[in-house]
Amino acid sequence: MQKLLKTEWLKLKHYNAFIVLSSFFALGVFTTNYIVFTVNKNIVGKINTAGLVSSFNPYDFTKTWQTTSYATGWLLILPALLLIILVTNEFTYRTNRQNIIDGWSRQEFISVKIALAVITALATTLLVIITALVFGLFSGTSFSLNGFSHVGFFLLKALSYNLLAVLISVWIRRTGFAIGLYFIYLGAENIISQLLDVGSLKLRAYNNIDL
Amino acid sequence: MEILTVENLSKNYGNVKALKGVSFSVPAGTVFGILGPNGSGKTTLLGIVMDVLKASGGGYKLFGETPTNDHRKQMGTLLETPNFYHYLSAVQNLKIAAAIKGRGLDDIERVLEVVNLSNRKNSKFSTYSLGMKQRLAIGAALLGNPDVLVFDEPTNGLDPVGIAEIRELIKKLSQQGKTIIMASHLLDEVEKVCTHVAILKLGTLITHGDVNEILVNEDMVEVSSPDLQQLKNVLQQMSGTTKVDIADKVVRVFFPAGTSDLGAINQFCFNNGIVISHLQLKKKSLESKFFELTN
Repeated sequence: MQKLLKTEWLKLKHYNAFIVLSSFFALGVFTTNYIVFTVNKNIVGKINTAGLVSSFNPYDFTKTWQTTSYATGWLLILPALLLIILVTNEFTYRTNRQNIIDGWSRQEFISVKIALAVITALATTLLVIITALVFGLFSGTSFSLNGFSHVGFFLLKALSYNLLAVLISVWIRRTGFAIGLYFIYLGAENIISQLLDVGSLKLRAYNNIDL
Repeated sequence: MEILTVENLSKNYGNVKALKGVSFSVPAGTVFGILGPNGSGKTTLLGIVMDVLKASGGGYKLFGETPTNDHRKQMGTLLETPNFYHYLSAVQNLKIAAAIKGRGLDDIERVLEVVNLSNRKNSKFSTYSLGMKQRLAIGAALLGNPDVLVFDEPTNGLDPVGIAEIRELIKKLSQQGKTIIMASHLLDEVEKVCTHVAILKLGTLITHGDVNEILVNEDMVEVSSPDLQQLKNVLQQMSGTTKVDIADKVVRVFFPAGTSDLGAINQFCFNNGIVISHLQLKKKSLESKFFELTN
């Protein structure tokens, strides 16, 4: 697998779309969380009514894991989109055929794409942990791992977004249709899960934010 | 040892039967041509052998064993069109190919020299002309100096200089003892380069064997006289002929290409007491030979 991943890296490291999308995502993570932080500081923090604690900071250490996971969860579309582009490109340019002709088996080809999805999910989770830590430290409260389970939920969400992207790409094999179907699926699942009120883990976990 | 053995291979695309029970084997060290018109199943056959397509029936063996991925890593292949990453340069693309094959990483410079792409090796693949793309594909097949090469229409898109270069390359590789399997519809190229040939037509194998036996290019002279059998007996004594037979109310005399002399035939028959009523040179062109074989 390591050899396969090294070969994938050779394909990725000079690919502009990969570099740009990854950088945007990383930037977006920090920016989004910063926006949430600032909004809360400037607006919520200044409200001082009798029933509310005056310094309501969603980034203090008991809540930073949950807040960061929730906020960044909205951005998970980006890595998924990147994965769709990468996988459907292989089919569009028929380089999947070339890889098999050169000696990969079909299983190796698919498993390296799945591995890519998993690694991307892990990387985004790592990014979330770092961001949450940074914002938590900035908020001045003492370090605690309370609520770290929300990071676990985030990892699950990232994994499911990414693996769904790979599945749809391998099934549809055309970039446009794959992206379209992916968005339709996300929207449909959103609607259906709210109708059913059963709540997939992806959505319900973050409704704890409105305590 | 047989490099490739094809056993009763069939392939259907829905209702279209692309291959119908094809069987032959490729001996080691030969330049084996797979010849046939468009749509005869050449690319389908090679696609099955390279595990890009799944056969509908029958099987094949590589190096005498059930085929595995490692076998493909030992072979250099060019199938149909060159498929590379458009945003990468030649060197980067070849690095990926070498990484997948597990060999040839140190071979990239040499291979680019051989196919004359050294001066464009760092340009992106999307900037290449068709001929350059084809040459890069041939180069990728040569990575790591494999002992078996499979080329599907290698001269596709090349100018005459390029075609001649590929011909010389294949000859040189063959002299080094490599086995080359080449699919083509260019009868001329196959005749010049191949040692063995298999001819496909609409998915059926018509014939296979030594190229000198199958693609004989010869002169044919039609001679007629009232007594055909006597004419045949007389002509069989004439020197320079390869074969004399009777067909369609004429005696056909075959000579090696370009050596027939109508005046000499006339003189010979007259000297032996036969008066000829019909004498005509029907030279077999390569084209008509091709049509004859595939129609």
